[in-house]
Order: sequence, then C-alpha cells, then structure tokens
Amino acid sequence: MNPPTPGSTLPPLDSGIITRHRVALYMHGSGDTNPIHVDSDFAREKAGLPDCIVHGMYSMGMFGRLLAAWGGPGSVQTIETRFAAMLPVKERLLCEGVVESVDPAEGGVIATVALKATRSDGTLIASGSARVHVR
Amino acid sequence: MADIHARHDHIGHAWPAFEVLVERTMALNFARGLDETRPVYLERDAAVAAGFRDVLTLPTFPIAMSTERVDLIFAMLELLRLDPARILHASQRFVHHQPICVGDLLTGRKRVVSIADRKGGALTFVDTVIEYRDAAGALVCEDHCSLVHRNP
Repeated sequence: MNPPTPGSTLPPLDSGIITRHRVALYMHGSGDTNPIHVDSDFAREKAGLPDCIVHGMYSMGMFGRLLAAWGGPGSVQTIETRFAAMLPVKERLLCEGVVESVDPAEGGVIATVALKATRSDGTLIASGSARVHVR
Repeated sequence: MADIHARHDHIGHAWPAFEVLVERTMALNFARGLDETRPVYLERDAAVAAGFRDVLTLPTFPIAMSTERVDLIFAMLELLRLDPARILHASQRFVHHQPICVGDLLTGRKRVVSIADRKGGALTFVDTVIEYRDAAGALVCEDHCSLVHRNP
C-alpha cells in the first residue's frame, strides 16, 4: 500500500447479501439475542416492522472489517460509529472510508478515516470515524 | 423533572469489576457472521504465524465481551430510572491499546461517564465506559457506549 494521504479512499467493502444465517451467526458471536434480529414473527407482531432488522453493531462490525483489511491485523486504534437508520435482513451494505488526515507515528502513520455505510437504495445506515496505525 | 436531576448524581457511578474470557466459539461466530474470511481471524495457526497468541478478534468484538454482562445494562437502566423501551443506541466507540485474542482473560470495569439533557430535557444522553485490563493491570480496550433516552 502507498502511504495514505488526505483525501485518498480505502478500498470499499460490499457486505454482500446479509442473510438470516449471517445474522444468526452474528447473534451467537455478539451475544445480542434480541429476537427482533432473528424472529420475523416477533419483528412483525411485536415491533411492527415488515421483517427482521440487522444488528446496528453489525454495520459497525463491517467498518471494522473494512479498516482491518486496509491497515492490517491489529492496526485499528479507535473506531467510532453513529447509528442512523435500521437495515432490514437480506439487504446489503456498502462501506466506504476516506482518509481525512495523517499524523506521524512510530513505524508509520496514524490515519484518521471518515466512514459511511449505505444500503442499496443509498440510505445512510451508519457513519463514523477511526484512527488506524498504518505501518 | 426531579428524576432527571437525580440522575446526574450517578455520574461516576462504577459497578464491581468482572472477568471475561474470550471464547473461541464466540470469536469465530462473530467473524463468520460478518463474513470475514482472512485466516488470522479464524484459524489459530495463521494467527500464531502472524505473531498473535491465538485467533485475533475483529475491532468491534469487545461488544460481545460487554454484552455478556447485559445485567449491567439493566442495572444501569434501573439506577438511572430509564425505560428500556425508550432507549436507543446513539453511538459506540472502541479504543484499542493491545490486540484481543481467543483465550484472553480480561477484567472489565464499567462506570457512568456523563449524563446530559438535550432538547430542553426531551432527550437524555447517557455515556458509559467499560475499561478492560489484562492480568498485569495494563489497559487493553475501552468500550464507550452512548445511549439516548426519549424522556416521557
């Protein structure tokens, strides 16, 4: 990788279709067992939603993947996310990052990255920022 | 409004420390659920070859460590008299000081960082942190959570 510069973009991450199976695995991995994520009867009858919704933290997890794929394992120093909208299951997320600033650091640089995740119709699902130690 | 002002007395409140073990099954389900395919997050040998103790966790995995103590969330809601049906997760931040790997045994300690009323008291933002430390007491990770409560 070339050294990051302000304005450069990270390789975007397309989540692919977020299936019920992926959400179920994430439920077991995260410990967040709220039925709204896996039980469509519950989502319809108790929450008044058309179907299950993906965990908000799943979108943040995708930001984590995007950043770690770019900076390397163990490179993400801080990661912050603001949750904007619900994402239904069987949708996909496009996660993007833009380098905002670069500061010197031991053995490399710290890149400050702005993040956004949108669904296929362009709706903003989550935004955020991160500091990544790029060596 | 009396309740809202009483809430502010709990800024700085801390709960007793707890231990958390980074379990392999949880870490692998977390990575697979996010469709991660890089071996350092899935296979012990690959992680060791990359210089880690065992399978490396993804940057947002600490949420799983915190969710294990969901009782602390309910304890906080009760302490601050917040209605679970009126709570939304506004934002989340993790600060990493050291990698977290499968098999790590960490000590977590949660406290209330700030309580702030916004929009003329219509909303209350509650910020908490869980600090995770290793056996030597060194800081490993900080889990900063911001919840928003729509006041009745």
